Amino acid sequence: MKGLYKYLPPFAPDYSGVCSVLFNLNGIVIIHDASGCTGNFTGYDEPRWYGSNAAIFSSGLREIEAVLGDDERLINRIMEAVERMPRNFVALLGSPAPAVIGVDMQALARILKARSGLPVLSFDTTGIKYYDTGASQAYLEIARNFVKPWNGKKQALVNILGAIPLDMGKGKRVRDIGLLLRQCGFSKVYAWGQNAGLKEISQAGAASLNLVVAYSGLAVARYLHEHFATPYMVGIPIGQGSTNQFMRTASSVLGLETQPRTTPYLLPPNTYAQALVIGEQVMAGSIRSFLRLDWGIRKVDVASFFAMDKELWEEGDKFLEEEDDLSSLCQRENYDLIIGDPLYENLLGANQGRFIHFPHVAVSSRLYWDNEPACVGKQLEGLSSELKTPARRT
Amino acid sequence: MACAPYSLSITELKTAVESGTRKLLDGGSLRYCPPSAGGWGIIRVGLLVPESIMLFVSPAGCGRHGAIAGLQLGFRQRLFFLYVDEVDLVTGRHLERAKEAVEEILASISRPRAIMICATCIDDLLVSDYEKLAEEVENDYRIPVRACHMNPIAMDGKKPPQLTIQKAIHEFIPAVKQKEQAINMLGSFAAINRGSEFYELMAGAGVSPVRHIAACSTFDDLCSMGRSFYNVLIKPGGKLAAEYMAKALNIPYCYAPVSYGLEAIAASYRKLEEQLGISLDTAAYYEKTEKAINYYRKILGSISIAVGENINACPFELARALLSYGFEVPYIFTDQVLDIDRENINWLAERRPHIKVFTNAHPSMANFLDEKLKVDLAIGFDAGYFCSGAKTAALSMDCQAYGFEAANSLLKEMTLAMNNPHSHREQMYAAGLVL
Repeated sequence: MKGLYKYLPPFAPDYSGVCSVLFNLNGIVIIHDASGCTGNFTGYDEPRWYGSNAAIFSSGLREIEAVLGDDERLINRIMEAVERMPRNFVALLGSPAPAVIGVDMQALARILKARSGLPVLSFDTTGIKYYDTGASQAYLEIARNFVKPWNGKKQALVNILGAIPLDMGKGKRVRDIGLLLRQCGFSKVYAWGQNAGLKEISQAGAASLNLVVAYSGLAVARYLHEHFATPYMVGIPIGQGSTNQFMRTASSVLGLETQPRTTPYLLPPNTYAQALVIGEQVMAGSIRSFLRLDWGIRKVDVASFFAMDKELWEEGDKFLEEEDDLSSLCQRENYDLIIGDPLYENLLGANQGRFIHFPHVAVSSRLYWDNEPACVGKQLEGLSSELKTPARRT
Repeated sequence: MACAPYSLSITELKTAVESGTRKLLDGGSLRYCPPSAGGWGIIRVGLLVPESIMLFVSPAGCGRHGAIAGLQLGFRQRLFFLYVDEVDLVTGRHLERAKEAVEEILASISRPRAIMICATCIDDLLVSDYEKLAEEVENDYRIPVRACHMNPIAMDGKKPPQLTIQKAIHEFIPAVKQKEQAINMLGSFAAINRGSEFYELMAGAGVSPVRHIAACSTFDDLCSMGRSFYNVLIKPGGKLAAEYMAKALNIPYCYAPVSYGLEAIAASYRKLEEQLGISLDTAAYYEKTEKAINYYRKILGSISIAVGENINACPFELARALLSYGFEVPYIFTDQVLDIDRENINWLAERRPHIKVFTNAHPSMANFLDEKLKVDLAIGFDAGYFCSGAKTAALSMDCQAYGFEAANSLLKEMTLAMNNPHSHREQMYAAGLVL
């Protein structure tokens, strides 16, 4: 039945995606809700929340205000916070309750901008869509509001786009990508949603390259391409083959050449006939490349409950609307290797091939966020050793 | 530039309470949600009904924390989600879809004994009639069905969700005319620890069994609570449940709270004697506990303790108890002030006028970690979070102390935390707190 979920938890919602992108930008971020939605983000979608001083708040919406449409109280609360804690900007996010009563977030943003003198971003998030949609909107809004015009020479600067913990984990993977990019000749590596502040983001127009590591970074990469003619690459370097390709391409942007420093790679025996990777499209596609280039698995499909971009789509890929779609797909295709968040395993029958756990924070939240497998570059810990165990069927 | 965290001295709070204040944080501020915020959550409490399932009807985002906590704590398999989309919101068709969902769920699992259908904030605003829906589903499938609400938007009203959910889980209990000399305990999420002297005292007075929903392993056990002649409300969260049972099931109740101070514990027992018409000989337990306090006080020394709100106690009563044990309490973290707290606030203001009371929820708490408050021990995950150098005793809702055993178990937990501290972060995340 459409919309009925028996096994999987609800995935990270759109407002969590927005908050995650804005987390490190020193703004005042307000989710217009009664506090439960904010609790979703702070407790279950943001591994960096513990110990941080990010100013992300609930508006504390109550029935009487919602019924009376008393927006003035919300504005006053926000102004009180603005006066108490000077920050770079204000962001106002919707949630299911304001969606029902039709709160005009853009109008509120205009009023707040006039009163506070700060940039004010607004997002019509509803809790109905998923984090990737919210994160994508947030990246675009940041670019539109904070990237300065640039007409000078391109610099050895690369922006990593889509690098929020909901997709990329707590930071190690992004740092590992940064190290590879430095080896390629980039002296400045700014990961939006992780280490880049507004100052770094404002320089984005000077970048020679943008690297998209998740679907949420695609729209802003295209925006930056359109406005600054900055080329972009999509994908995460996983394994020998992909990393070599990645480094060659990234270096070539700066007019450099990178020689692979590894010994020629010997393909292991072709253990698996066909594989499925379930997850966020860019990460799943990158694992697909790894399986093809390093393991010689020719048929690798990608399936995702999250938004999928046509340009990254391959024949056999599947957008999953419902839980049942995943179980049907696996029954139909008879994959002997499946890689995805551990919670997906509950949806599959006993007669499945090998299932390799690859946690996705937007799905399984804090259940595995302290145990993310390293996957970037050539020295893989988790995936390769798991793959060495042959496929078995019960 | 960081702003100073908002706080009141206990003396200022006393004055504010006298002029009608019920919350440190009034409606004029945004709300900060520290990692330590939250508790059992509506879903976990709702699933205390034995042999039940819950259908949670909401936009996808609303149920995420409850579902992940369910996976952590083992109740996810009894929980089903029906996601509401924009079309549902406009047409209200999700109520019909909920019926279809129940049909599909029942076709795929063993028949449950009870069904809870949970609505959220949006249905408050849409004025969706979930009680009617529950009635219709019950008629269709001949399974008891009740509605419940995870609606924090109603938090400041007369029917906040933390109270209505306790009422909802007790609404499955049928009225029984023939009563037994048994009592029900209300308000807590766990049954009173078997080690409490409470059971022995009640049995000695001819009151048995002592029932609690969490101790019911079957739905029939839950129904047997209707046979009890009296309800003992031990925590304020069960007030609506107690009022409902008094009216609908003809079971009167009294409030005899969980306390940690010796005099307060004795007062609860006196109240039970009066209300139940029994005699309880508690003198030996009083003396034994007094000795235990002296013993632990020597072991622990003159430690300073921060008391949080997210605990199995009223923070002001606990602070008073700790001071009377001989410890120091320089900080309290809480937002809510109940009528029952007044006496303790007055007592504290008189003896320790400089105790600082912080509210977990004020926006200035975002910068609180810069304060680096120093105490030896924090009671509650919230106090432990804000006093990051302290050792933490959770004093969680997962087990329920009562009577003199409460003071003993508190001191044991404090000693354990001091001697064998665990990572605050790991303990807190393992607790599956839901805001």
